[in-house]
Amino acid sequence: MVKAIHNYLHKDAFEISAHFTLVSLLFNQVGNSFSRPFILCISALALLLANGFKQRLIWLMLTFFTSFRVIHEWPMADNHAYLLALWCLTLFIASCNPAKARMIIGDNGRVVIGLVFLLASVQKLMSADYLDGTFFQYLFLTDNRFEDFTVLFGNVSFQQIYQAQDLLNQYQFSSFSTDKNIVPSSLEFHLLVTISTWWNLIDQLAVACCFLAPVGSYLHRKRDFSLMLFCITTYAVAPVAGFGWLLVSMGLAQCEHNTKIRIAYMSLFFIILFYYEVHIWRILVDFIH
Amino acid sequence: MFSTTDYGPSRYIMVYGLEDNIIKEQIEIPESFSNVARKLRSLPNINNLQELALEMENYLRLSQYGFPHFRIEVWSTRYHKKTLIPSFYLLNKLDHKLVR
Repeated sequence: MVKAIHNYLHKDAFEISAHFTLVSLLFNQVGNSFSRPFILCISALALLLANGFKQRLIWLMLTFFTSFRVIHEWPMADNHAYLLALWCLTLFIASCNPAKARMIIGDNGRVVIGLVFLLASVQKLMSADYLDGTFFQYLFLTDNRFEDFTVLFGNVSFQQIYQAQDLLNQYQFSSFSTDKNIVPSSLEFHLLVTISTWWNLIDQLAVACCFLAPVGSYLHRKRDFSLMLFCITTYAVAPVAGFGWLLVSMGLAQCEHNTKIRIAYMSLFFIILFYYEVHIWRILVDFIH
Repeated sequence: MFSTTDYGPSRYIMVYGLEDNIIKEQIEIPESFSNVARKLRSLPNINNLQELALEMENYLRLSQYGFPHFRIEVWSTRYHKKTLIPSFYLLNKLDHKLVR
């Protein structure tokens, strides 16, 4: 077992990244009812067949079906879907050029991660309601996926969250007015909103700077650490494992041939799986209450 | 990645029956038009307004609808930064004549 893991860690970056992309496609079940069965079948086939990940037809079909999803649901707001289609296309191009595959996925992985985080940071800076904290106030009070986290760290109760949701619903296109507060008057909640707003922006800007920094520079050498820090902190709270796994697959494509970094990325894949399957904030809320 | 409250679910499509350019009643959008409505909420341009208008026209003609025109409006929601009290802003609208 140890020897098998050791051998796997020394495989080509294209093989490792392709494997992790295929596993994340199986775990995440992307696409709509037309494309999902095909994406699942092709991914499973690629993993089951010997050297299936090297087959250009596999990556061509995955590029087609992941792109089909974007085109069929155009204009799609889910940025993960665009990145997945682009990454499948990169793997297809790499599979067509086996001699340059490692370079193709390495360079593209690094630049695309950098651009994704740069554009996400610019979008936050330009947004009308991000920097003033409105976005996270709204998110923490209306998105049920974050309610355990909000209760745990924002010193608000589930009742206060549901009351805020009720009040917001009553305001929709009506002359409704009340003197009740929608936003709970909790210092911890406001602190949570402020920290989330600035951490999210600074963390993503840092990843962008590290991945787009000149090769060999100090920031460039810290890029894997910055991406891992982003994934560990973000996916503990945001339940969007598919994007995390895709970033790990891309990270593995561009990292140096360094066993420790590869182990760290692979561990991160399973940490995100753990976050996704084990609802740690729910367990903590139940434990405390 | 997370950056704004202005996304699909915070946008609303309102359809009204018109007579002499006066709003007479609100018309519900049938569930079967959810895909066209989703597109319009994401990208409220004139093409997507016209696409929903044509779907609505067919639907209203079949249901023997009484008013000669209808209006489609797309609204966005902005939340007050301290109180989160929502206010609504018109993004785009289209008046459409019902051809019988």
